[in-house]
Amino acid sequence: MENISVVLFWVALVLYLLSAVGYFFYFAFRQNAVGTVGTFLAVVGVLSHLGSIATRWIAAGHSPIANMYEYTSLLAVLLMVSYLIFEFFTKSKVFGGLATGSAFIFMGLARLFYAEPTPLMPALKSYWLELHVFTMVISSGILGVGFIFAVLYVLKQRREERSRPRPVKEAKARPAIAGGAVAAYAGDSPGFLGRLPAADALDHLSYRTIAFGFPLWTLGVIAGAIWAEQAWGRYWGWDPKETWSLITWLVYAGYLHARVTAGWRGRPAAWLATLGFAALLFTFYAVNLWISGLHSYA
Amino acid sequence: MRTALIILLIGAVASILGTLLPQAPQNPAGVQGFFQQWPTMAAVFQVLGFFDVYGSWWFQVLLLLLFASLLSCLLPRTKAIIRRLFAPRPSATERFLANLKNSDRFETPLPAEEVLERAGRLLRAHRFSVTPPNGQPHQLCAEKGRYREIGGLFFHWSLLILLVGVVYGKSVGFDGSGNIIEGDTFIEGHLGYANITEGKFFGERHRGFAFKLNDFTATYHPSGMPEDFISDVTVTDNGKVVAQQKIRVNGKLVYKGIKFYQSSYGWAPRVRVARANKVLVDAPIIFFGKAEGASGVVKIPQADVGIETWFLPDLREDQSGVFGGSPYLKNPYLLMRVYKGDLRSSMPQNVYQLDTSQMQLVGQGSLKLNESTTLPGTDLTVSFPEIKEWSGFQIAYDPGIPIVYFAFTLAMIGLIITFYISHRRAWVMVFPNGRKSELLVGGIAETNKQAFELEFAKLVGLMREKVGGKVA
Repeated sequence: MENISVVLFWVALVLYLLSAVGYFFYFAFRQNAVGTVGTFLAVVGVLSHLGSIATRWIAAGHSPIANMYEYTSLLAVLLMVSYLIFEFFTKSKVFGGLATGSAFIFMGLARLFYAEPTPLMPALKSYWLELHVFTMVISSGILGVGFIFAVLYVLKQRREERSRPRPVKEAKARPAIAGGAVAAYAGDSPGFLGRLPAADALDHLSYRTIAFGFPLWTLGVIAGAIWAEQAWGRYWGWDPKETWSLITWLVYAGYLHARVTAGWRGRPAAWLATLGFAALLFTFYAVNLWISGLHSYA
Repeated sequence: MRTALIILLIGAVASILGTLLPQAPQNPAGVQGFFQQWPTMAAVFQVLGFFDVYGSWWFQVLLLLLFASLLSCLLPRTKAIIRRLFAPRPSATERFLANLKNSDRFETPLPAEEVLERAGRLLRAHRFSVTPPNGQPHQLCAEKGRYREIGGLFFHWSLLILLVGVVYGKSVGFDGSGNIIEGDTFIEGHLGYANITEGKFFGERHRGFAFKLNDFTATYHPSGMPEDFISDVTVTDNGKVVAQQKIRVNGKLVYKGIKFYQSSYGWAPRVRVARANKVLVDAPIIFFGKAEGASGVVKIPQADVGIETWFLPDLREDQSGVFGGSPYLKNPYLLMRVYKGDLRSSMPQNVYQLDTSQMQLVGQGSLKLNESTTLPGTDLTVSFPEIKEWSGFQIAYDPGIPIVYFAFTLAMIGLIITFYISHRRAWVMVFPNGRKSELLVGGIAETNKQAFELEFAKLVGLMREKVGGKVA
């Protein structure tokens, strides 16, 4: 079972990579057939990935969310499933390369954390495990998407800024002066950025996504606190993981206040969203790798 | 508001500090190590409270300031929001509606009353609450998500309540631990605890009931990883058995508000040391370490002898020496290093450690369960008649928990209202014109404006169809 799980994991990893290549190729050359292949590969990759998680579940005898490998793998599959749902409903492959590419990176990250499936340690035997971990995974996925929108906003905004003041005539004359690369960037061929929604819309999308993820993150932290009270005898103990989840929460709370109360928009807000996501990654990975505490599970 | 945010920011930075430096309550050994490595810096940090950030006076001052600043901005805001909620709906002027981004104007062959009636029905069908505003007969005010502002109020109040719950629980409660050997009884009182931190206002109101560990069982997976550990306990109060329960991790016992959590366990070999026929020591001793091999000390002050011992439940041997094979009692052995000299018993010391600075190693030996032997290098006999286990409990009394959980609930309700509900308002104004009339519709949303634009367009489309065009 364990071996099947590993093989299926590798299959998914490779398929995500191929699918990402397909999506990017589709962007570069507008080959619809290649885009379809990208989607197909992504779907097969997700099926294989789900198979890997299911066999791991059987091998470990508990829901596979007990260590960093399992958590990161789950994050990748959630990302892919939500992306495919998005593509199915919007019929848009704009975010395809980005989604499959990130899924591929997360799969690589998961592999770094790989640990043999083991039975649950007594402290984790609780229905709170599912409640707490799933909420944390889902909310971090959503907040991560908010971060991606913020990055896309910055890219798109820079491009809009550069192409706006130039008269049409000049833009047309440029390829002759600076070559095709500039033309591809400046808007003669829209490329990836050209197909994205307008910068303002991306900015708003980033905010909406973070505003949606924040209550879930709060719920995850609260579920963790209640579980800690059940298992360890206190709802809060300044364990490094707890503290960092609070710091992440504070940064996102700051972001929401900056937007809603102080009216921040655009680039400063995007920086704050980036800071929030950095804190989130620190909470999930750095705390486990560098700081020992009660949350140090393989 | 701004002050509160700045305090939160300082708190966040302080919290980061607390995760990067070793903290005395969680990791005293780490603090000791820091002192050895960087003595000067450590001394400065000690004064600044950096080794106990979350318990330092300035962190508490920060919390107090946060409390004050939250309260000072919440009170007037709460008042204002409540007043607004109960105030009559504001009416709109023609200019205001015409200038809204979401606005539409059309004629209808219906009389004004009929138009208002139909428009109201339509808006209600789309879950708007519809009221005629004050003194404006030819106007409708429709609203959805009117209570959204309460969300923010709930959320910020919940922070305040959370703070109250935390401080209340910490100051009238306590947090302690106790290690109990099988068969022993723990009396709930200050002296019974191995460690205890009592709140300033706890006032020594211990309950005095008896908590007996009848039996302890640990089971393991084939890999040696613990599968479960369970304490079978009986609680007796005033001579009456009031609770009998198995405590396990994630399964606590609560009696009179005091909670017992399973937190650790280990071996407790009973060691008997005698000189001729006089028994000097005979008691189970708490050993720390792994289940496959744990260590402990036996002190015999009457003979100036101390023994460092290791207990292996499943002793095995290969070319490199002896080692603990499994956590099961298959081949239980005690290994001993015997020291003679000054135990320094007059000095403050840890009962679980042997200070061998004034002692000399006089012999080594091993002892199987149920056997006895001469203690190497001495005139004493040592026997190992029984092996028991001990169970470690986290014992806490925190009456602030209901308040804290109430705050959690309120925070979630507040956040859901704030971020998943949007406040949308629409007005319908009718200008009678003989038997016909003219209609002006306008709408506004403070959040999620794009979604509202679509909703408004759909509403106006329906209104044109049902109110505007054909007469039924």
